[in-house]
Amino acid sequence: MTAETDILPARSKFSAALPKLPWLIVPTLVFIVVAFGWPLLYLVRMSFNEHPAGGIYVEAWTLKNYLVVLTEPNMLAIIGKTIYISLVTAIVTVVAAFFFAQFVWLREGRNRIILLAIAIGPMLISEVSVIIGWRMFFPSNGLLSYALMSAGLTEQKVNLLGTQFAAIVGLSYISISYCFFSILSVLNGIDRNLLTASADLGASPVRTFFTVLLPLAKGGIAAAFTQAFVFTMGIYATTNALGPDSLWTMPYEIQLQMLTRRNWPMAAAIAVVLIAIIAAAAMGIQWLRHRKGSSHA
Amino acid sequence: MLEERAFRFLHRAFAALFILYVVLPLAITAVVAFSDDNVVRFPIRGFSGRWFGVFFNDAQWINAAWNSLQIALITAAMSMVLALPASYALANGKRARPVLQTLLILPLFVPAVVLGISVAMGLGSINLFGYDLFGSKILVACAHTLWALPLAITVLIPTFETLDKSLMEAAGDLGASPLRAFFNVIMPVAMTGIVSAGLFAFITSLNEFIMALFLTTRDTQTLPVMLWLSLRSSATPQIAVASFVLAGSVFAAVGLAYAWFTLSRRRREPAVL
Repeated sequence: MTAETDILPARSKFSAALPKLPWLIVPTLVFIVVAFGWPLLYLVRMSFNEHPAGGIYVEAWTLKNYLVVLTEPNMLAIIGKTIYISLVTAIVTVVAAFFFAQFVWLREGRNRIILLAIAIGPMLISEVSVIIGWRMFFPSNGLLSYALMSAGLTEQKVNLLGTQFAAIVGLSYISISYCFFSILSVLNGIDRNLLTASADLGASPVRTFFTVLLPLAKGGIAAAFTQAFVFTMGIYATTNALGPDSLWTMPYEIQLQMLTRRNWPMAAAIAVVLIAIIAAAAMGIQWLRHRKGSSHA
Repeated sequence: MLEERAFRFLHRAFAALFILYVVLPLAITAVVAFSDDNVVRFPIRGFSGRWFGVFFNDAQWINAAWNSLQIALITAAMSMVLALPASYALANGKRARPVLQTLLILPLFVPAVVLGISVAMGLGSINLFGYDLFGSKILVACAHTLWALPLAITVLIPTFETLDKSLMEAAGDLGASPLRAFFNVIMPVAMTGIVSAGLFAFITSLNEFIMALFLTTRDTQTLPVMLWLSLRSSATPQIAVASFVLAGSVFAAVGLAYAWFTLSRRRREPAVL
């Protein structure tokens, strides 16, 4: 760069100042501070307030809300269920996304483009449309029951709406595209000849899968798992509309406290705990990955 | 060899199942939307477009659809105004880039329910020039921008990174102002990325309903919010029609953008040759 400027002294001030341009990011930062930073700070402040009977909140500095969230058996059960359903969904989603990504990775040309277009689908459809779709599939007068009866597989109508299975099917739909693309981008960086080489050396497909492909795709799998887990932790609409009533999650409790009970401090406290769990999980996976990565190297 | 063939077959069967899984919710919605029945049930007892008629004559649904469109357009505009300069700066910056980029992407990983109540609590009580911010379309668009902006930035940074930096310098050396250089030189080259980013922002806002649930009133309710609120009370195929219209508008937006890509590529090709 310096040598160039020596040769070209006529370069305008404008282009010399160009590579920095730090002020261009200022409006965006202001927006993030006003619309994201301030509301989150306000949320944290709100979580220390008190909830008077019949009111919304009175200013105070109390840890009472956190005490309720972190010690009451009812709340602990809600936290446990939220983590449980998110873990199960994340595992199911990552496994499904991985095998489909592997399938797409091995195709080429036109087929590959059609498969990619299908994989983008869930990203484009609103969560509420997905819920409505599955709500016409799972109940006793839905498509599933009709298909099973027509095929002669069952005599009676089948109802799967309101089961954990339906909830996981719906929840998985929301993060599957993101997981798919995370994994595919890692697979795309792997030389396909490695699989052929492994087979030529006499390894079985199962062995090739576990000793060659899986270790190479580790990074993408971890990223996909984090995404699926983080996304699912924050969802309540699908869980509530497709799952059983007993599947009471943290986001649902936040919504209930905010809209029905009008207990803003409690809603805020649960929200802060939810964010803390999400952040801890994301950082935990990151840490685990780097530790394992370094022990291999 | 036999083992390998068995695995290949299993893989194919799995892929078919996966495709069915992706297509099913929307396919069912499309079929039920054209049902003639009074309730949603299988088998379908005849087809007609009468529930579309009911939907398009219902003032509340139409109002909700309009609100959705307006909020999505405001969100797309806001996201682009904020994302374009920021992505350009980040793509050319070095030192503070990782920290700033993480900060701007962060809201994407905060659940909608948390963003919704935070914005409602923190900004909902503000009154600007005698105009309540709570329940306004602007506030919903601001909340949606928290998700749309990170997506737009994620698309735009690689777009600007792959640009030839000497283009901007050449424009400057020829005497163009930075703003003119950006609009006349950078924009046309980066247009594919810019349109994609705007499309992402638009779709994100159109589909989002949890933040909107906490921030809208009956008058500013969006289409997905109304769908969510009538999920349990409505048993008629009208809900399938509303859901179909929502998904259809997303696909229409994608289709328009795709048509634009194809057209602009065709227009550019002869010039290259």
